[in-house]
Amino acid sequence: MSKKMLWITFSLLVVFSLVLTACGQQQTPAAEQPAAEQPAEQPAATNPPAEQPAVVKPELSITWFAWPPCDALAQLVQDYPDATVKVNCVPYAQWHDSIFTDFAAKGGVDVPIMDSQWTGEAVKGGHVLDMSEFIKNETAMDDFVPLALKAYGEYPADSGVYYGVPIMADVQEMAINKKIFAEYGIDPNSLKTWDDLLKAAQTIKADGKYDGFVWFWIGSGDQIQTAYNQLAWSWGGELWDSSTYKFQGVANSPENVAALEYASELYKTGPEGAGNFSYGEVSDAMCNGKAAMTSIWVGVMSGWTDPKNCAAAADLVFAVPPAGPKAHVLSLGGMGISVSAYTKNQDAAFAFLKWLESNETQTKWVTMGGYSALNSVLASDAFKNTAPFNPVFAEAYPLVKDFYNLPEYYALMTKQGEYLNLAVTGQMTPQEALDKLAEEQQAIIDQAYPGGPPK
Amino acid sequence: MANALEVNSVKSRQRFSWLSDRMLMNIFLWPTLLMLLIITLFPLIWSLYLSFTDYSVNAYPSWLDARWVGSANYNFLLTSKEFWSRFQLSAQFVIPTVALEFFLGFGIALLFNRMTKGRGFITTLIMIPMMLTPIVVALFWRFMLQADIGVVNYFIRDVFGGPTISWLSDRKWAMISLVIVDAWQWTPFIMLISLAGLSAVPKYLYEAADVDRASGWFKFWNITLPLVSPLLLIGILFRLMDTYKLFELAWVLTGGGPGDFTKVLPLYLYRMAFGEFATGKASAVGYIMLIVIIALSNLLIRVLNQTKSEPGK
Repeated sequence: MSKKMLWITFSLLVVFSLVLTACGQQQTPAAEQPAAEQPAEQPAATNPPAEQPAVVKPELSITWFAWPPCDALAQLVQDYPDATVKVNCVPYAQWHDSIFTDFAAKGGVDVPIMDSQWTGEAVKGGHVLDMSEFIKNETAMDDFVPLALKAYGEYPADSGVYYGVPIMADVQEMAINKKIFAEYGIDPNSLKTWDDLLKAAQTIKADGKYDGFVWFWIGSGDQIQTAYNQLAWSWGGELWDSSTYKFQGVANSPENVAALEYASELYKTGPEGAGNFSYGEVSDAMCNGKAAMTSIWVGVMSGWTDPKNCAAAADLVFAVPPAGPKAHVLSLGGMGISVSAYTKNQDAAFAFLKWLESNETQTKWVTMGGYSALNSVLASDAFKNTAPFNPVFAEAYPLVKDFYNLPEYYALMTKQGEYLNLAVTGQMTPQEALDKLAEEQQAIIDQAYPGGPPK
Repeated sequence: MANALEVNSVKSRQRFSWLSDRMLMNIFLWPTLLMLLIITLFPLIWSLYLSFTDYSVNAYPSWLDARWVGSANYNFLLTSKEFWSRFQLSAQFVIPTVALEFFLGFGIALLFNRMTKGRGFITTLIMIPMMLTPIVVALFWRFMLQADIGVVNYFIRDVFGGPTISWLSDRKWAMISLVIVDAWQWTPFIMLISLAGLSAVPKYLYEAADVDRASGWFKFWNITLPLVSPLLLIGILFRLMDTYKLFELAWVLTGGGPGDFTKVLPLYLYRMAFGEFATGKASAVGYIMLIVIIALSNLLIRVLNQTKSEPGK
């Protein structure tokens, strides 16, 4: 071999070794090696410390989005003795993408916390493990709120096959500034229907001193969608026909149009330009005492009872959101926790979930700002006494309903958010917006299921 | 001592006599080239292949399961009303933004070029926005542009008695907001490039023009502009490419809203690639964007070459 060739070969070797080093898994220190690589049975701690092999814990990672319950979970998992659990609280906008990018890379997160609508997408891609047996044998299955168990992990609907177990139950509650209400002589308990609420909001907004009702009207994520959905259902509407996969005539039904017209009237009682309001802006508006009321997820309200975080904390009272003309339905919030099909610590993940879903841990979880889907925990004093909005939670949670759990939900939801946002902010009429929405959602579904609904 | 060094040097030369310049070049060149091939060319070719498949990185267990769909993804996009409206929207953002940055940046540079004292200090101050992370810029502008409590509306409404403007949630203003924020951050870049160009114009040309009693406009049009234009064109080229792929500002400031009125092409691509995980289609969008930007760049480079070949015209 000539010297020239020798040097070229050497260069190539250098490059390949660099690439391999970059792509290879980082060598963890001996003390952090996974349990599987260590002797399975350690002798009892009778040997002198110097001779005892290091106690090795498997590592697990959880991905959720950054909000108070995520911080609470990070705190809670510190108590788990059998694994080192790391909780990644990613920005809300990147939550879905972060988990599914890990799935696409066939690695990353071990136990993802996923929104209820994502189950179909995750199952279709083969990214999460079937947890049916685990739920039956290792959890208090009968103690779960039935709807929560179905919504946070069952796929397909009514199949009895579960890919997730509830970790965070959530529902919207009304937060009302009683001081502002008193100023206008309105009784907070008088808001029995959405019409009562609108009248109160308009009265408060009329003189411009306060905003009547503030909501998360932004079109991205699932924010305006979950706000509007509970109105549509309460007006007697539906988002789609799940038996025929029809959106045309359903998503733009007269009931839905009436609900959206109502939403656009309600929008006018809020702060100007609130069309891009997300949870952060709603929190600010409520906590600085400028807005009289909102309906928001309890998980977001964790900090609202502390005057250090929320100036108006002492003035806030909580209630179940009102009923509509036809029904009393609320949007389902909350999430299930699943086991990634790509985790290298499958046994450790299931062992961790067994601990997490135990009554004892769930009771501790609710005292830290989490919300359990176990009936016994929801009925406990420990839960009811933790936050002033917790007693309302037990009343509101049975009223929940979830929306499309289809692998195509992202495209459907994106369209819904865009058109609802335009209609609510008065940049499109509700009829026009829902007609276009129904047409485009139908096109998405027709393209995905050209032969009609799957048998 | 000198002799010892000389002997050492001769010895070294003898020891490495086989290491020719050409071989040394190969040693430095090949690893770099190979690295470039792996991290740039491979993804480029790979995504080109994917753009002709129905691959979904999220739904398919392996890329081997992807079906070859020929030009179906391109046909779908090029006949899709939504795709074209994203293109139009991107143009509605790129053209006014680059124009604004050009006029403001060049204008400020002309003013600064006349300054003798404190020019360096003020230039450094003006460059600060350019040094900030776009996400940070977007976050604080999001607060400043808040319709109800934002500082911008405070001045417009409370100080000057103007109307409340829903900067980020009204479709008339949302795009304008993006233009303003991008121009705020990147005008200093054009200013810096222009200033560099202006500093390089030989003074004797102006002195000669003064002798001929040329007007200020004549000097600007016939001396300043032709000599600065190559650098300006480079600046415009960079800004065109950058604004065309704007993501962070739109993502944080408006999230593509109200409705989809600021869902520019990169946002559309992102949602397709990482929301719907339609990898094949998203690769096709990426390729169409790449072709457009290459065409635009070529156009500008031609103009640039023309300007260079006709100096002082």
